[in-house]
Amino acid sequence: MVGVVICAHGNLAHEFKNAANFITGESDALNAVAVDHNVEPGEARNMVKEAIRAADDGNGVLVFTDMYGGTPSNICISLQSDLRMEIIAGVNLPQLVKAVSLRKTHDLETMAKKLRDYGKENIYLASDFLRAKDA
Amino acid sequence: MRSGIVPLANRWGMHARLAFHLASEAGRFTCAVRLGNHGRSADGKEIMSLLMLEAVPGDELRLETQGDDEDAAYDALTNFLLNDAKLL
Repeated sequence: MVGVVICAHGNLAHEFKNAANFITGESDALNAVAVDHNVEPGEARNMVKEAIRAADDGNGVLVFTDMYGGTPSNICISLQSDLRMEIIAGVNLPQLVKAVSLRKTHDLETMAKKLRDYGKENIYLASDFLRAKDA
Repeated sequence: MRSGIVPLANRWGMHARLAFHLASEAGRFTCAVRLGNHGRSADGKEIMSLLMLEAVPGDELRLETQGDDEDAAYDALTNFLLNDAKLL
């Protein structure tokens, strides 16, 4: 199965993991690694690299980062040539919940493209629905 | 095609955990699964589609299954909505 790692600033990765685990009831599908600015850059890079390596059972790893251009994302991008991985920058909860299902049936590259699109498609402006109801 | 009305009898209505497990249960079958609520229609195998039903406790969902294993899917999903959903 494709491994999944969330890499983000502060506690965000772990909180995303906790929320997704609560919804899916699966506690071993997602892995989280925090990038803390109190940690030396080299050490942070090693921690992220180890988390991605540990999640790879030979089928590669899909890494979600919180924001393109941020340190977690930059660290992951710097590792892309060393590890079999795809990176989606700009994680949201619908993507993570969907990833728990897709990793069982899809290869890394297909899963990455599907979840990039899925994340975009599932952002809504709630007032659009209220207007539709009122119309 | 099998179809019928199944009440949503849990405390919270449709919510993320329920939608995930309902979609997973529907995904065990090859047939198409759709649920309807107040004029809206959802793909029963897709969590975000199910959440868009905005179903609240007491809503009567229209369940439709269509395909080779439609009877087994209909029975399993009815059972899920009437029983398992209360625990989620």
